[in-house]
Amino acid sequence: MTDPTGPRAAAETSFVTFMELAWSRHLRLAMLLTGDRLRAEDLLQDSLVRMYERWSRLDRRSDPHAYLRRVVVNTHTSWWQRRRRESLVAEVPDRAAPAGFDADVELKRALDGLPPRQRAVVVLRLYEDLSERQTAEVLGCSVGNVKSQYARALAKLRELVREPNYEEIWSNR
Amino acid sequence: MNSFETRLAERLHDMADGDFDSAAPIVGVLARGWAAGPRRTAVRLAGASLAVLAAGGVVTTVAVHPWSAERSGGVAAVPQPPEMALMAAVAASDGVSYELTLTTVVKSTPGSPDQVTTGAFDPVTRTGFTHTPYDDGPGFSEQRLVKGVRYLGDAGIDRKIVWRKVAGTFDSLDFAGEAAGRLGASADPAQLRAILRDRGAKVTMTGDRTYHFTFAVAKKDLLPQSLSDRFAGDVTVGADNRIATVTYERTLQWAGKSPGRKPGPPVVMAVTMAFSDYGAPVTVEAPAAK
Repeated sequence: MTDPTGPRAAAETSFVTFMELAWSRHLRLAMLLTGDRLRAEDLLQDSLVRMYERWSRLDRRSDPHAYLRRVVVNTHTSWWQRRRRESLVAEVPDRAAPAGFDADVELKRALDGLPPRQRAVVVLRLYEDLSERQTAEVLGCSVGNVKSQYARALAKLRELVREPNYEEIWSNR
Repeated sequence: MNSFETRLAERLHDMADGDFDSAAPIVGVLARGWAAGPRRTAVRLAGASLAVLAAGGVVTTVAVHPWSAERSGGVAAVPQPPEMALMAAVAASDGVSYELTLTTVVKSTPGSPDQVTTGAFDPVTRTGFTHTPYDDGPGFSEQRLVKGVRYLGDAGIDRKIVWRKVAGTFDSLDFAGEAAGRLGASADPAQLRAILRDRGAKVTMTGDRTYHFTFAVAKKDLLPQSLSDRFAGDVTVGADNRIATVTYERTLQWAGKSPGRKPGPPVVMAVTMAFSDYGAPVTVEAPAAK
């Protein structure tokens, strides 16, 4: 049995503490990447297991939250690629949702229509509020690549996401 | 950012701000991590600690200084951002008996007297007490918690205390409701720990054992009729690696008294919590029956 006051137990304790802090914060990121609560929990759990295996070797000066974010995004991309190879990917909507849609469902479907890297760029830029440079670091690519992925994603989302008709809303009040 | 991106960002936040709270699957992750490689099989939490985790407890009760792994030598450095280091101290302070001196002053009311509460609490035996003198006379209020049974006492100018027993059983002292008044909720150590654990708390390390934190209550969690609720304070960790003192200011903005009316100035309250005698036995007797 490991000495409960020993350094290894300390590492375990620090990881458990980190996991407590990280879970709800990164579950939201995973939700936006997967669009599904259960898959989000699976994704985050897989990512935490990967991180746990490297925990004691991580640089203390680096931000573990940033590291976990990178693992979550990359694990999600790997999942997506594997699913596509196995032809299990869900049918992708190719047009705007019909009238009477729920805004969140529409946005969710639109996000589902993006390739994982483009989806990740959108989520990291607009939800995590990362700069282009920070997004490039998470994805392990160039800033130019982030810019082009982001532009393509936004163009596609503009087609798929309907804006509320504010004039109609006001005229009905 | 153009208007489309701005609205998209808002909708992403709306999607993600739903009620997604769930407990971190600590045991599952650790078990899978152990199973993932032979290196991990040698690493085990102490049996007692694992039992705590398996039972849904938060973290091991082992008292560990945030940097102890590194300082003990021969072990790879463990990454610890400030909020994690503080959480380790909070965790080490959890589930252990303590004595407490709690000082509260409403700064937004000039001349407001300090309210000082002393007490002790043992979460294991659910036993403790608080004593709060009134600022306008010799009277005082007390509460006793004896194995989860709560008694509230009140003494007037004659210093004779009148007790009443509260229906039900309780796991903690009452720092909020009947015993402490409306604003007392902010001085509850359990609430403070919840705040520090909340994902919104921002923590910076200001010294070897001191941390600064700021926290804004999320809109969905605001008290009814309030517009904003912010905390800013400092935590000192003692030589025993447990929380020694917490000082903070809470700024609470209530809504206007009626729709359309401007809100008044915010209520600003300063709180100091001093913890001591962790682990000491806490013995409290139930008030004598009449």
